[in-house]
Amino acid sequence: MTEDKQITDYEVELKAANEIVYKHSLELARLTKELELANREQESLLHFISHEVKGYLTESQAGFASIVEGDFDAVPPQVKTMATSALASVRRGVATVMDILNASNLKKGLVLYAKKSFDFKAAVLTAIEELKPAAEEKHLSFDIAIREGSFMTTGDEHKLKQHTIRNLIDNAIKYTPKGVICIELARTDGHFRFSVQDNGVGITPEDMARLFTEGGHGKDSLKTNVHSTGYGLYIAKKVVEAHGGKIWAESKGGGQGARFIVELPAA
Amino acid sequence: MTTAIYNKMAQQIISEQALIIGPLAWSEAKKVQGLRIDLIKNMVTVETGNPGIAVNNLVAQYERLFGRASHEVCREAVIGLIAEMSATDVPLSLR
Repeated sequence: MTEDKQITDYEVELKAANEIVYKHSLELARLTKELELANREQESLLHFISHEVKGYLTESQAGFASIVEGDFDAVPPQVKTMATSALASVRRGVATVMDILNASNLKKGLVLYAKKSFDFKAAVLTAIEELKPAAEEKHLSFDIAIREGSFMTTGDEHKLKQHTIRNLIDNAIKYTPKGVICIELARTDGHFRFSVQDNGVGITPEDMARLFTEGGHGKDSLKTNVHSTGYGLYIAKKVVEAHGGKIWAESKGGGQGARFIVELPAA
Repeated sequence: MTTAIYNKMAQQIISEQALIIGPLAWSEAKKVQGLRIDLIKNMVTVETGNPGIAVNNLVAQYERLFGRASHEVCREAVIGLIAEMSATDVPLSLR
């Protein structure tokens, strides 16, 4: 066989191989497009359903609140008890749906932040006061260490407080069967660091990888917290990052507690 | 027919090929006579003269490497544009 013929045969083989690879790549590209379309349709449907359900729940919330607050004059004690319990349940439902809607809006970049100067330390202390009853119900105590200095920052106070400060402290309460929750706030050069540490259920390496993802439930988290939506930490991360900050978690593993840290730029 | 529609045609063909073969689509397009490629902006301009021939050359470049399937991809990429053109303005390879 001459060298020229060998080269020609080689080129023919190479072209045939290229065509096979191309056809596989074409199929992969087609499937990718289909998957992207399916994802977009699912997102829209989820958003629509969440919005509709939130509407119905809000109406129910108003109804039960009216009964509890005596808008229909005095009601039998059993009715008031039922209404109080139902109101708490509906409020949890609204909070769950809001989590899902917020996560969806954050993912699409549809969230607007009302940024202004506020005192992060005051926001932390307020959140601690608000969550103290929930901690006391589980016989948990807070160990609070807030360093000297100004903790003024620029940001959306409501979202940072709701989705970051409250979320982390609330999680620590939910995932700690007994003991102490340590809350720290300290200032470093140009930043301040807020952390919540517990001695609760901890985070396995497997769960750590999914912690801040959408719907990122830990493998056993629903056993400890049946109302977990799996969106709380995803939302916290998005909000912190929108403020130029970082959020991360540390844990030595399952059953060994966890520490969540948020770093934000100081004003 | 202005060259603008042929620019758009070449752009859509290369972009569609890039979804399948990645940056190779652009580097192969750069070898085609009659096309000016900006690899930084991923933009293509058909040189004036006979823009239809430049598009034919582009289609042929892909077909030479990847066979008939790639030719079909080129046609599907510009099916919307072809619908707005008269039959004589459509490059031969895409009729």
